Amino acid sequence: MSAASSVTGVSGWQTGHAGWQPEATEASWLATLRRQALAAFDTTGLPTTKVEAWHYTPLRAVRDVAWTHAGGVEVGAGLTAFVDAARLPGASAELVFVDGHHVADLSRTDGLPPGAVVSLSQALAADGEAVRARLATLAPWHDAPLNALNTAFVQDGVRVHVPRRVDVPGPVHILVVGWGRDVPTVAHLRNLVVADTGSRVTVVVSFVGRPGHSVLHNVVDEVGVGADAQVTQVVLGDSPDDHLVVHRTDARLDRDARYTHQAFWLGGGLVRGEVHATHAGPGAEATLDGVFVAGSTQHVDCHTVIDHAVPRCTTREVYKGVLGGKARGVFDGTVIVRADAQQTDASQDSRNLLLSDDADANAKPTLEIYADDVKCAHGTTVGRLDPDQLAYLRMRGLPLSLARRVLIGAFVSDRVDRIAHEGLRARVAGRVEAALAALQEEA
Amino acid sequence: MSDVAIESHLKKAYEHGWQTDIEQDVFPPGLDEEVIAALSGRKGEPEWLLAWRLKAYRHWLGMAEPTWAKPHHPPIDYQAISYYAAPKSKDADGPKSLDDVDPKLLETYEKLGIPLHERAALAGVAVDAVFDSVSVATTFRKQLAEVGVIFMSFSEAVREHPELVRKHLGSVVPAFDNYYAALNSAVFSDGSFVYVPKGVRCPMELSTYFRINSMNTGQFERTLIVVEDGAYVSYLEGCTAPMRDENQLHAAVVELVAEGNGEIKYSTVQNWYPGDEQGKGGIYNFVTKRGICKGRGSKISWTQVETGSAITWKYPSVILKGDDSVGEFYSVAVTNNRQMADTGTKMIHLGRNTRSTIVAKGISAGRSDSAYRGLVRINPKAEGARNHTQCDSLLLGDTCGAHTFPYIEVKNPTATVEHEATTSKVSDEQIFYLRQRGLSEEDAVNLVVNGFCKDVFKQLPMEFAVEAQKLLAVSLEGSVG
Repeated sequence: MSAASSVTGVSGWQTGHAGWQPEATEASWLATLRRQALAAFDTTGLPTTKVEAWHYTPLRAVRDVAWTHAGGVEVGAGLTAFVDAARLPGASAELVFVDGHHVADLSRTDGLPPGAVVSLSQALAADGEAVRARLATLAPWHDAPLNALNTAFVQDGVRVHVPRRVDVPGPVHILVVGWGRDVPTVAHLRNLVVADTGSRVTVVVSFVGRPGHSVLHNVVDEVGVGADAQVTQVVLGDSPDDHLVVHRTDARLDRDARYTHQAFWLGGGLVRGEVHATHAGPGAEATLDGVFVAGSTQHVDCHTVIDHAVPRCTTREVYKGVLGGKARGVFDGTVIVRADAQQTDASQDSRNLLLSDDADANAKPTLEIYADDVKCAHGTTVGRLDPDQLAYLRMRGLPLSLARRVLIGAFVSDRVDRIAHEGLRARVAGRVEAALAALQEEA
Repeated sequence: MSDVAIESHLKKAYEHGWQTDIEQDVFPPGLDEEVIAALSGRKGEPEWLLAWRLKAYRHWLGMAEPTWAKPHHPPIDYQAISYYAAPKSKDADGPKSLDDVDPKLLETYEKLGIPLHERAALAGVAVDAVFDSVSVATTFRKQLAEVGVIFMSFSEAVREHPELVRKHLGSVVPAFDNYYAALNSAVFSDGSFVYVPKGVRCPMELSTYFRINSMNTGQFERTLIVVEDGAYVSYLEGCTAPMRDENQLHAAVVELVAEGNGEIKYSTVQNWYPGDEQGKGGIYNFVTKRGICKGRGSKISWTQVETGSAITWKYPSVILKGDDSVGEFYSVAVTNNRQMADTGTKMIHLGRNTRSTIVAKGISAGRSDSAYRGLVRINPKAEGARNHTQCDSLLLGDTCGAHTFPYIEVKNPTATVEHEATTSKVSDEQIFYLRQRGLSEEDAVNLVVNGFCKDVFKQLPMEFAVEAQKLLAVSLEGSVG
């Protein structure tokens, strides 16, 4: 797909991104799509906080920087060691992207039938029409400026296609590395996940990176969950604080589909995690779990839109935030129940723990309901650690710091425990614990 | 319930849809600085107030109409509205007592069920009735004056207590606060003014009844209530309007100021004409209501029952500035046919140990849309602040909508904020159970809906609670099948 390296500021984005050229061999439909998306972006530019969906999240850190599309990376010992440390034990396939480029030497897909998991550029080369039938079909780029940018400049990504009734044993791990260069680097990745009828797959998207370099990840996932299929998507955000992460998932659930999205945002100076799920077939179930741990000046914004378009679907959404330092946490969740979506059962829960005087928590759990035979509820709590619970533990001889750790750990652990894959659960638990420890030290 | 019963109840007409034919002094439609000057002149206002109005008007010209609310409406032609309509008085100086008031006007209030004389005496309620743009009569003024409570129309207050009005006007809702508040600041015609001095517990409940009578007029009343240290007042407000095919604008501003340990209880039953089944006509009710708990331990409590208006856009709010101050918001919003309501509250916690409670019940029927939109903000210095919010929606029928947009912003770790919301319908089991016990289907629905609203109704003064239940029945009976 893309390769050319060139310097592009936001002004460049808005005037047509003059310096950037896709490969000459690119299919004309893709070039057209890019042009249209860029034109859509040009009409809006980056959203400001006046746009309701971005009310709590200013994008100064994105706007004020001249971002560069980096060229391919030299795989040295340092990078190899870094990637090895981030590998997921038990993964059935692992695709590594460094600054937007697929690094085949560090990736492996040997655990799967050929063609099931390939990079997007490989998929385009092998069967462009199949990609065309999927790309940008679930994630709308009108009125979604960052998605429009991603569509305009998408460099690479992964295509996962699980055939009918196939059960992929281990997770497919997409490792997104922000290695960084001397100049601020932007990477646009697009992952397409297609799970055919009755199939099962777990896809893990990990964000990691090298501190000391300015990196912006703009990643969009499109997930089609077929009838009776089960897709579990786990997002582990573990970037250093000088990296910015915008990650958006658009999922479509067919009849009786099961879609689970588990997000753990632990690192990154600015994080925007969006999940848009549409119940398109009756009986579908969506489960969204989120944990965010943020300290210093981190800003984590979890944004979800669940659209119940058909009857008898279920949504369960629980987001938990632990905030210290001067961090800001945002949960902005919307559940839409359309007129036909009778017997919808949806709940949204946002729970926040404030550990410092300067942290702030913002929650906006929204319900838009147009059907009467529904069960919809949402709840939000914001508070500090319960002094009674702390006192209880201290009376039993635990020092204050340990008592706090136990309570904070318990607050988030129920979400971590719900990760089905053992190796993944251990990895996430370890990273969550490290993030909480860092937060405690800060406090 | 049979379809026929549903039909008949849904078609239940608006009871207050008559209009009174009395001679009126009406400005031609249109708005410019001259109109504002003429309005101000007609009311004999001091220079500073005219200057204040004009400043607000000039600012308003540069403001954009808000579009973020859920309800949408065709653009309002602000030049097609008459900004002043007053019943012509036989006596140029206005009525001295109830005897001076045009008997037809008194009849109007009679029909509305507020016989100023008897009922006021019986119920011990002092009524300030606002008819289109001017305040018609204020009962019980003498009795109130004996304890030092000032209760009069806004225009009178401007004449008699200019220093109080000047001190507090715009102190809670600044003239530039929002589009409709700015418009109100420029053209407000009348309203009520209440002042309760230090330590006085107002001996009776004060009440205002608003009514839009004339065609093509807007009602822009302004209410200002100030309670000093340790004082208390309970204030009731009700509204109706005749049936008309075109939409009429009501853009009011209410400002409440509570000093240390002062308490204001503000109750509203809003029954403006909601338009017909097709959504034709009806009042656009775009209102800014806000109170400030200035002093330590002060309390402001809003209770509202919103059954009328084509579109309601209203967020009675409390700024909790004083330490230990308390804000409350109890609301029932009912929408039927094509009504749209976007209502809720803002609780801004600034002081330590401030507490707020929000209980909002939305009931939607027909093809209506009802939205709760609320903000709870705990500022960094609001140590130990608490909020509890409960907002529930009840849907009657599958063509209406119920929405919740709560904003929760917490900037202090010692705060405890809880928000709960549910959406449900009147279940078949509930109706079946009550039917078994001999209740008609309508009564059963009524009982369930009243139970749903109980937490709010019990906050209302008794007379209002009765009226509210009746209104609810009129608005909703039979809309569940």
